[in-house]
Amino acid sequence: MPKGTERRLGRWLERESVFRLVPLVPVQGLILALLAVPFVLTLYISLLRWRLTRGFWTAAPFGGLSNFADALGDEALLNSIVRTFVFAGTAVALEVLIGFGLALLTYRSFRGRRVYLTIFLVPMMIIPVVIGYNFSMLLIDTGPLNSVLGLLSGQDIRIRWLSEYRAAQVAVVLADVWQWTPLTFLILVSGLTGLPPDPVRAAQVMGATRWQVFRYVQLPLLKPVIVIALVVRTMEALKIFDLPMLLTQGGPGNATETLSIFLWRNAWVFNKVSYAAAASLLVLVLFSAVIFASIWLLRRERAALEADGPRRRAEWSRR
Amino acid sequence: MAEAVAKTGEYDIFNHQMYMLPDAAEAGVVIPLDEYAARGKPSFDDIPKTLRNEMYYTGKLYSFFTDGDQTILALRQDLIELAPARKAFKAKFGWEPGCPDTWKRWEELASFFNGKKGQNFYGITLDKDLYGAQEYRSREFGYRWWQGRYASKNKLMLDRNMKPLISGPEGIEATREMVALTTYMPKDIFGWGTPQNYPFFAQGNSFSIVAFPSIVGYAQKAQGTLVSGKVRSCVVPGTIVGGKLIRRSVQPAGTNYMVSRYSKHPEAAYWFLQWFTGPEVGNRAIADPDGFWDPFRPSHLRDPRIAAKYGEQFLHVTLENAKIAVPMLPLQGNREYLDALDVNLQEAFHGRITPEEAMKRTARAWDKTTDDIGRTRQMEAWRHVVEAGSYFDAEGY
Repeated sequence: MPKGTERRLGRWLERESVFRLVPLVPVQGLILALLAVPFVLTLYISLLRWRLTRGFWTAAPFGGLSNFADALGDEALLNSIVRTFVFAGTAVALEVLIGFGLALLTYRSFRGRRVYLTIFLVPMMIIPVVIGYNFSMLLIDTGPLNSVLGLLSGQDIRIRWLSEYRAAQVAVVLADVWQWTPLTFLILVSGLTGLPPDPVRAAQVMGATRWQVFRYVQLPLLKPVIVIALVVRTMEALKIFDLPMLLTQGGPGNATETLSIFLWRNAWVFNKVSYAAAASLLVLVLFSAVIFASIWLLRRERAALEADGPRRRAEWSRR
Repeated sequence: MAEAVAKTGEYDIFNHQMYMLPDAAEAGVVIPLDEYAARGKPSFDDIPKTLRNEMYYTGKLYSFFTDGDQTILALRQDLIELAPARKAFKAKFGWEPGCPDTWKRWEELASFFNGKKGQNFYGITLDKDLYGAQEYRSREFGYRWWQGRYASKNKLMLDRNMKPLISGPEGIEATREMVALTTYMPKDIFGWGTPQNYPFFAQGNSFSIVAFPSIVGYAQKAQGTLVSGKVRSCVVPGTIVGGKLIRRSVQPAGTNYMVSRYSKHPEAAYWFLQWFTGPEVGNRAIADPDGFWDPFRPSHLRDPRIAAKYGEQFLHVTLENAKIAVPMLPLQGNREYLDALDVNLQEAFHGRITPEEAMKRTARAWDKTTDDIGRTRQMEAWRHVVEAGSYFDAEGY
């Protein structure tokens, strides 16, 4: 390289506006390679009429937007989306509620607390295949769950957990709640433990009951953490595949066929790769909307908390 | 199928269930073996015709198989032999209880040989509920059994233009029969695969079951079985069509082997498969006490090791079932066709739609799949299936 050019390049790189961007180049390049390339490929494949049984994708005929049109009119896809949202909504609500309850019971220091914390966290660490197998054994017609329910109710309970439409949906929710409540518990117990003690003490000094302390001090302070638990779990729950697959294979009928199972079936069982690509892109748009809404919610909570802090401190100092 | 795209050449042989062949062949991931077979002269002569056809696609040999998985009916012989029960049954239905000729007669047996815990059943007190029948009804399974029933109506599933025939009276009847028989089954049957169905039968909870042939050996030898020595094997029931009894078992799974197009040693792979699945090694595998492959060649009857493992009564019956076995729709995209059938059958089993509606919906879905894959190509493949006699002389082409 000529010396003049080298000097000019050196000076250009030394400029702060340039130098601070240089370390980002490899990272951005990596992200581009890892995300953009597969995305563009998926987009292109979605425009083809490619089945795995028709050779390589480069030889597949161009289909334009026909896969998207088919997907939008596919009742099975739309039903699986609705089913997935209902499933995620129910499961996550239960996980946050139960996780919150457990967190409230264990966030203070007491003898044996570590043992309880460990026990509560165990389900999250078990691999889903084992959970699926265990639940399939627990939930059989004459299995332990029905026996326990029978003992409690004094009647012969025969709920067909894995073979009745509604019961199978409930069974999948139950298994998911069992496995993932520990995560919401972990997030919420950390949040509760990390709350500043002063506002709580101040409220207690001022004669607030335990309920008032919880309702008016702890809960508002914990809102951003609750939102994080909700967002993290919802994003995961919307992708559920393993438990319904292991417990019911998406059945009976299509009762537990979630979106992931639907897409998997179309791509890998029916070999309709282009169709599955189109359907997954439509779903990506839908899920992006949910994620953006969640991020907006998180930001709003954070802003509200930041705005609320000085106001409350001012209120307390006036009192 | 990932290898169709990846083309790694890491695999010489693919092992899958029989119905996978059309998709694998169309994807070009497996190669025809006719050229090698012309030199190797594998021993196919004593393989029943329809099972042999399952090794071919559009007239070309693509695969070998080692497992005669054709369905079988197993009954509780000890219950049938109860003298008062026999008498009462004959008085009610007009025939001696035993292996039923028709699906209708199996339903009659199921309706009679069942009872509640504590009930006195013709001289014996039932120590648990006794169910009349078991047959696979869950997602991924029920539709396989349906195909045997439907085939016994002597109707093809598609005509020469790939127009579905399953929404006709035969399809509706097959579905109705399956729905009706469910009355005599444990309520949990809709969620059961083999790990649930087999122990349930072996523990004496039901009178009869149509399952894979291994159910008989399982009931005989499984740990904790209560029905050892009490089970009788039967040829699957059929339907009387035009005064003639037509029985059809179905090959709901089976194990086949195909040679990868991307194998670096395709000929060696071929020779291995011919050796591995031939009468010498294949028979040894079937006779292995810990193996799970089932007999299908008539020559298996003459193999003392196989006869010792299975017993002659079972062996005769399962070989009869092998002769009347039909494949699971051997066409490209069969998983998609059959998934539509599966989902709609499930809806009918649960009473959410009528059998008529289930078949109508399935036929609509099949038409769409055919158009999507390419009607002309499918018509050609279907012609090969029908002309090879894979569905015997079924009507409708």
